[in-house]
Amino acid sequence: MKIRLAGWDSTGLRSPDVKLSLAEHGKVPRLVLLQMPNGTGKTTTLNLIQAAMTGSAANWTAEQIGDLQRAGATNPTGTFVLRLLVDTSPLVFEIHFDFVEGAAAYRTSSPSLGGVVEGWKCPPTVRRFLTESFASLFVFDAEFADRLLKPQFAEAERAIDALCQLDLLDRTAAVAESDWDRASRGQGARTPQGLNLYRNRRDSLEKREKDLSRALKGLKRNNELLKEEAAQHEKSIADRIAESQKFREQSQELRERVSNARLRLAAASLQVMAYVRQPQLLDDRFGRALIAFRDSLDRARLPEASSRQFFLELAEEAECICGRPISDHERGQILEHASKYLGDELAGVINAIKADIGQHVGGDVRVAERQLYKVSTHELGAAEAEYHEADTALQALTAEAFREDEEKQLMSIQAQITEKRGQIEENEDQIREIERSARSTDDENTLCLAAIRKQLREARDKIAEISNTVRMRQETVAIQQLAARSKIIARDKLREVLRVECNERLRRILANDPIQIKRIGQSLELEKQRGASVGQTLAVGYTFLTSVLHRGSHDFPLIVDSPAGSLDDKVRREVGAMIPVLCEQFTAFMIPTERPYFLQALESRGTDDIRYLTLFRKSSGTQTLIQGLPNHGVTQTTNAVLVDGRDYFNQFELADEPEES
Amino acid sequence: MSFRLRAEAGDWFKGIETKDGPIRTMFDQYYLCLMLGLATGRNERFPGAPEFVDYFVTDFSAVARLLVALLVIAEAKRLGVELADKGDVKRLLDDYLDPNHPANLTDQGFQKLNDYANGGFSELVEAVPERPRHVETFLQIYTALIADKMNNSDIWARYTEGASA
Repeated sequence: MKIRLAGWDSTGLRSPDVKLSLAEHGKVPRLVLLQMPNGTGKTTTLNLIQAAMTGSAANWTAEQIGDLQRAGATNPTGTFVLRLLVDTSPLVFEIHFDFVEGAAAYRTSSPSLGGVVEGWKCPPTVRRFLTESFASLFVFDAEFADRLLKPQFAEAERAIDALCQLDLLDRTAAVAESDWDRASRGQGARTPQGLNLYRNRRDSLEKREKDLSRALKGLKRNNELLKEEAAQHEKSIADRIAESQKFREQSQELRERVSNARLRLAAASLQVMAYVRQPQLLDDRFGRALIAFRDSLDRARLPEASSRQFFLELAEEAECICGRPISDHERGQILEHASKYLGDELAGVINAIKADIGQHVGGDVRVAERQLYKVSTHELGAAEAEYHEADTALQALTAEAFREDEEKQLMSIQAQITEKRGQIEENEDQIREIERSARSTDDENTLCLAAIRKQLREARDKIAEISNTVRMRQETVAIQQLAARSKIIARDKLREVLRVECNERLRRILANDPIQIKRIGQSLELEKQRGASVGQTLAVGYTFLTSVLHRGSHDFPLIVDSPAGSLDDKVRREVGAMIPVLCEQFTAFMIPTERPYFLQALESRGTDDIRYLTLFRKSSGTQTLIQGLPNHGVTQTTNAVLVDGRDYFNQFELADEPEES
Repeated sequence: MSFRLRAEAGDWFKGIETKDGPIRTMFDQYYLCLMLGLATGRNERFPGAPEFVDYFVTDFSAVARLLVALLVIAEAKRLGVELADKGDVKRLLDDYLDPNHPANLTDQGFQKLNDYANGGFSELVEAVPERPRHVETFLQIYTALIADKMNNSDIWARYTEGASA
């Protein structure tokens, strides 16, 4: 990909108003020399070119934007338009400055964007290069080359990172961190220590569950044994009583009666409770109340035939169901009163209530069932009475047998039965406690097995959740370490590759004054010397930058403010000869005093592909220049003159501009 | 929101609750307390009462909406709402009925039902201070207690046969 500078326009800013087109028939010259006296706005124009390329002006403060306004001017706005060529495709960035609001707004146009769009919208293919850090590598002042050799600025490292997008590795690490943070937020424990706490809790609950299960089995087994023993004892008593002819028959009969009465009692209890569960049978007044409730709903016409939904939907229509238009007023009224109606779903529940009342409570069904309920309660009473009677008789018989038992064996056995029954009851209390449903007040010390199991499930779920979080954390750290290590390795390899490449080019460019790069760290470290001459510094700087920029198959323009600066003749010749070799497009913002030796060196490889431009402000100090303009190649605006041509370029002489830009 | 009954109820009923017996679930206990609460109109808030289910269990699914209706009737009486007043009745229905909940109850509905259940348990322990040991005896006491409370109730007296509504 090739990016070329095709020109720019500046209007209403502190730099002169100018429309500068470099491209002709889709081609831009290899060298563009723009000569401007000091104070014409070179630095401002460079800053605007960078801002247009990167979109950075959107973040400028009102003060920064205000500084762009020409001193003494009253125009409320200014515009800067930058034209680029990306391969053969135009890409235009326009910045509109509002000095009153202190704001900058962008527009972008490109065929790939479908034309003009609002905002700074860089096409994807070129976006990675038009970042602030990357653009500063090819839009700079000559001091930048000097900083490349100074470790405190770390410019060499920054250049490599920007070119090779090593910051992507930093961003990868940052994304992994924020993903982990988002995923683990609100989960409490996120560390191995937190995980261990929950694991300990789980282990403790598992032990408790096992203990309780074992205890439950033990209690049940114990109760079975006790019941069996108690039953055997009871049988033993019964047998002993039956051994006595006096008690045998009666005892057997009474036991049978008690057993049957017990069965009858159990059945009657179940039947009564089955009826009790029906409120309309529990008491007739509940039933009548339900009927009355249903009747009152009917009288009130509830639910209504129309529901709230009907009116809400009606309010969305243009016309009422009667055909009349619904205006905003009617709509408001409908919506206001719609709330008085019941919703569709609530109407359904009310209808279901009415249906249930009809089904369970109405009419003959109720009367018949109520009658059955009364019968069952009588039956319960009768069964209980019968049971008590039989049991009482049996107990009396047993007591008599005990009295006649001179050896008191029966009493002894009965005592054992009583003891066992007591134990059975205690065990059953514990069994009930272990087997009951969980309550929200149960803690880890509860006897309730269901509660322990619930807490255990929660602890296991929590562990799974934290494990996932901890594992994710470990993976995040691994990714970050990988990214950091990759960055170091990539940077080291790139440095070495670039060092070799730069040194090869330097050997060609500075054959008479050889200098080699010993190492590329944060800055460029030179072989056998700490510093370099100005010329050498520029040579090394330009070589390095162009090597960095030309990695891969991409070409970038070099746009430099004061490329020759304070260089002496010899160095100017060296740098001037070097530049056409180093890059495909070089644009220099220079002052007239930089021309000697530098221009000749630039022209040493031919003048065909060089564009010579001179730009100066219209002012009292430049009146004589305006009077002496050539007949061709001149473009004037209200406050500036642009002259295109080598001859004028070479003869132009002007001290500093009266106005400082 | 769920059905809630204070933990003491579990202790009180434990002598007569068995897996296969007449009183076999927590909901049976809740229902018995609830009906006594509705019969007497006694409703007591008991914060922190443990929850157990948020739906009517199988034994009560057929009469679930009847219980909801009885709640509305009791509340209408408590709040002085005439069942003939369409607007007031609609407001009550809106307050307590939630068509989107399996139990068809709003949070307010659950809360109020729980209040009646807790009030009913208070009635129960006042009437039967010693926890019962025999379910058949308890059931007879309970059914008689209900009848007695209904006889003396403002809410339900009007529904006595022959009485004017």
